Amino acid sequence: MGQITVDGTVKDAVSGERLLFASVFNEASGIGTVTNEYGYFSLTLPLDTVEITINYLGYQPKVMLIHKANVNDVEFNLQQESNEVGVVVINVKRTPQEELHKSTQMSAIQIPVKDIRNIPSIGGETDVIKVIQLMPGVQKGGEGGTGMYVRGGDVDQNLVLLDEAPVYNIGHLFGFFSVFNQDAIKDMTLYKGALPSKYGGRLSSILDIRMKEGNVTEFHGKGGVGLLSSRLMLEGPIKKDKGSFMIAGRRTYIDQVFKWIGSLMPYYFYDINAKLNYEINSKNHLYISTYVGDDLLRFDQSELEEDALFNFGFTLGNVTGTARWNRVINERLFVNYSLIYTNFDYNITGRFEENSLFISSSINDYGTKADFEFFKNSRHKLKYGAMAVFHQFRPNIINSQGEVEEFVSSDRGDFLGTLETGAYFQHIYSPDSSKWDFRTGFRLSGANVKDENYGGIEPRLSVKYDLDSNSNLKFSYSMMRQYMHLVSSSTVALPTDLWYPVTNSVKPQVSHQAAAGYSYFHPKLKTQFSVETYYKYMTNLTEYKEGANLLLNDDFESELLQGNGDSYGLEFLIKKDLGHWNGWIGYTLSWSKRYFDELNGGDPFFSKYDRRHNLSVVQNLKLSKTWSFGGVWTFSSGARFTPQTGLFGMPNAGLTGVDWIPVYSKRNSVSMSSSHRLDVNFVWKSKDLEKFRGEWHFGAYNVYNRATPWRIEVEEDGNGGFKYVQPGLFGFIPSVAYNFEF
Amino acid sequence: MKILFKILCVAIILWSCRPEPLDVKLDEYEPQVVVSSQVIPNYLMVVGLTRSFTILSSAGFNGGGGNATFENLLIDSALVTISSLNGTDTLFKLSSGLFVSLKELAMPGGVYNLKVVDYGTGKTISANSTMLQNVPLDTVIPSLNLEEEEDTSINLMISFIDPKEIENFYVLSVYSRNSNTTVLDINLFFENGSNKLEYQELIEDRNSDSDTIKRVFTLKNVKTSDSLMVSLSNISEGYYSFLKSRERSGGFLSELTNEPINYPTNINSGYGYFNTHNPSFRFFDLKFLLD
Repeated sequence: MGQITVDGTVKDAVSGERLLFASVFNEASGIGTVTNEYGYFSLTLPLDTVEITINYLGYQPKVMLIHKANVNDVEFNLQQESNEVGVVVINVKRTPQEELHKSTQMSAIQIPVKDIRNIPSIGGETDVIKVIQLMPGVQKGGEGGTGMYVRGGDVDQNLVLLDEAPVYNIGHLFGFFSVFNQDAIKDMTLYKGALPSKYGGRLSSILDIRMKEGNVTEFHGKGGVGLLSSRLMLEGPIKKDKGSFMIAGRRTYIDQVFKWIGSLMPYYFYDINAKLNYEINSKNHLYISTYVGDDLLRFDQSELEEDALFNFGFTLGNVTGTARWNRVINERLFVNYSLIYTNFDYNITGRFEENSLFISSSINDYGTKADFEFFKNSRHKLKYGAMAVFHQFRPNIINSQGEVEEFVSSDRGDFLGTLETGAYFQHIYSPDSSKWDFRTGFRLSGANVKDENYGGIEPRLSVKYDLDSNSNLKFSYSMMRQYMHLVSSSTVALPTDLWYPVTNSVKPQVSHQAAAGYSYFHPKLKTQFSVETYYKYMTNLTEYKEGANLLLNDDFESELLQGNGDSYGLEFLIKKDLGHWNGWIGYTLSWSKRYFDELNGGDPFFSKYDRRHNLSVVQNLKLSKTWSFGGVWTFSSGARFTPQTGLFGMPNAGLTGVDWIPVYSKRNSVSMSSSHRLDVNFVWKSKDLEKFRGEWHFGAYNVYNRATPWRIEVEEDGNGGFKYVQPGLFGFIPSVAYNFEF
Repeated sequence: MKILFKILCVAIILWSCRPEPLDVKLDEYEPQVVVSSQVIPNYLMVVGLTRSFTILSSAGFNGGGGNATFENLLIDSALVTISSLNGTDTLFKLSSGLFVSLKELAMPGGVYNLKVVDYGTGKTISANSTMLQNVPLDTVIPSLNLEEEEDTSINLMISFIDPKEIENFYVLSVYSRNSNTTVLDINLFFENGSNKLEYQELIEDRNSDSDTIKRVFTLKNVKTSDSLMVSLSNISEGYYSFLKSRERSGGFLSELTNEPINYPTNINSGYGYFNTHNPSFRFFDLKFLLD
């Protein structure tokens, strides 16, 4: 019997857009693979003629007979399934979730963005980060925020990649909205553990987000009008069947709404995503993509009707750019070369009479990488590559004039450069007729800053053992190193958070994570049940000295402390991707602790977002041809807090009066009350016109108006005394939005 | 359409509710004894005793209060003793909250143990402090700042010799007192609270390469009719951390933006700091600068 290697791409039959992580397999031999991040696959089979089945969630499966003579550059075009109730495809053989179940990869969640459009959210705008927060192992930060705390890690331990470019600030409006426009995003994958060797640079997670490529056959558009913002995405061919563009923009009109109702809120944000892709020939493909987004606030004298000369404002934003070249060197070797640019900066300006203040900070990344995939045969697959990124930090440029100079002195904010490098190797080994699958690898990473070199090897291992055709056990180990950290005040949300590199005295953070899990996939219900347990040990974590003031502080290093931490937990997930009724239930039981000699009197303490229990129930239900429903109910144990409990007075330094000194509880010793919340979204789909489809979203956030505590305060109890209370930020918020496609 | 949208926005804002805050019970706050102390060389040792109080009180809710609040916190009835190798001295009450030892504490390297029994609450606290070597001020030279055209200001040059054999921490303070009469005595200088702290610096000798530590600065608000007191204390690292915490908390926007901190203390089961530093003083009547 011979052997053939089939390679090619899987595409949407209408738009021509490549489909990521689509299942490509031969049922007879049971051998299969999935398309990579660029829709490419290579599959070697011990046969002369093969029948290949292609599956992708939301598309009709396709079966093709492949002959030995025609096995290269094969193009599989899949038709989207009908949206009509009653014809929802039930014969899909393998869903993305099933592919994850079948692979050695564990601790990962893969979500096509089109599957989350009905999930309710504040203001009616689907937010990909908020959806990620509903997954087991991911804790949210404060209510409504985009902060992610993955498996007991800190917020700066997540690497968020948009078309491979790091996004340093993922939140608009102090983090209440993510910077990702749902119409511009195709797919996202979150890795909480078992990190593939190609990823590095953060301890806790990698969120890999891919933009849409654009329709290569026809011009189309998509958009939405909501109460807080509107958005529009346009896509079309630049040369039919060869290249396409996609451009998407979004802007809030909070400022205009407030103006209409006679109030003042001169704040808005906007973002623009754009992408070009061009297939030079069947072996070469180019992609260029960019993101630009800003938050802007500006108060000035004329709007405030102040007599005094006054203005205040800030801008805060990201820019990313990626140029990629996919090349199929031969039917077994695929390579992607990338050039990457990222910028994050903020600028704050203020003026009052003769006093003026300008504060600015920025980080720029210039990177390049090459990723190779070698599909040796059905048993061996190799991935290897290298990357280099030059990080240019310029923290705290301050220009002050007038009396304010006494409090805030001017600072040039000298450049700090860090060169971060990495090389990796990964081997996926699937022995024939074996119940075992192995993924082994390592990453060599390093950073050079201020004549100091850091680096080392990061071993990675994943093992799968099939118990039977539907269930398996998995184990993984990952070591990660992180060469930068976020300087951020924990007491107040300000647009002054900034990234800072390792230095002579601030060492890289390192983590070791081991995880084990059981996964069962019900083939008829297309439902996955998984349970995973993990233990993560982290060294050189950064915290700030007690009493540290990080605002406008140009000497962060003197305020930083380094210590250790660990976290462990148990995660359950039941996820159903298909059918009239789909969704998931996720539950996490976890602990996260920190060990710092100089904090909390040297005693261990819980991390701020150590929440013991987290439960998310996410359900989508097709009610009729025109109506569908999305509902989310979440329950979380309270976050940790350090409340002020008392005061004492001491003579001041001049011995002329009294200084009142606050007394706090032990660090993070108080667990705030548990919170639970129901959000709903009803979607009414208007009758399809020939070239236009529209749908109304009627939603409500926090249906039963229960507070989600974010801090502990003191207020009068109405009987002449005082009591502790836990305020919440958002109550019942109805929303209405109109989304359309043409 | 614009009007419809406006109506919709207003309706949504009206419908949107702020959730009722949730109540939470925390452990009941137990007041603790707060200690402050000062050695007046060749004269006496003063120990100030107050109690801390819960934030669930009117004063707590308002972030403290004035001197009246402070007076209510003074400990009126307590047994206060200081023990050393020379024996145990029971301090006498000078006034409410103020206890005094007339025994001279001037034993560099000597360990002093403070014990307080608060009869009001029945609580007992204790603390240890080591008296460090007195470091004298070597040079203190005030001079008129002639660069200022309109307001008079004073330049001050201060230096002292740092004993290098151990790591030392200092607090350097300059007080002024506006007085028509010459006040060159520590007892009178702080009388009526009419003094003012003009300058304070916490100094670590690890940041100095030389044996002589020197400071030159300008006191912008001091006039030639004022008296000046310059004080230098060789303090323990723990007390240095305590003062550093207070200094950091007094800055611009610090109440709002600082990370929470419980001040370091050497009091077992209490707050504040028991220190036995032995300061050096210099007094100046600035009128002599006009001569």
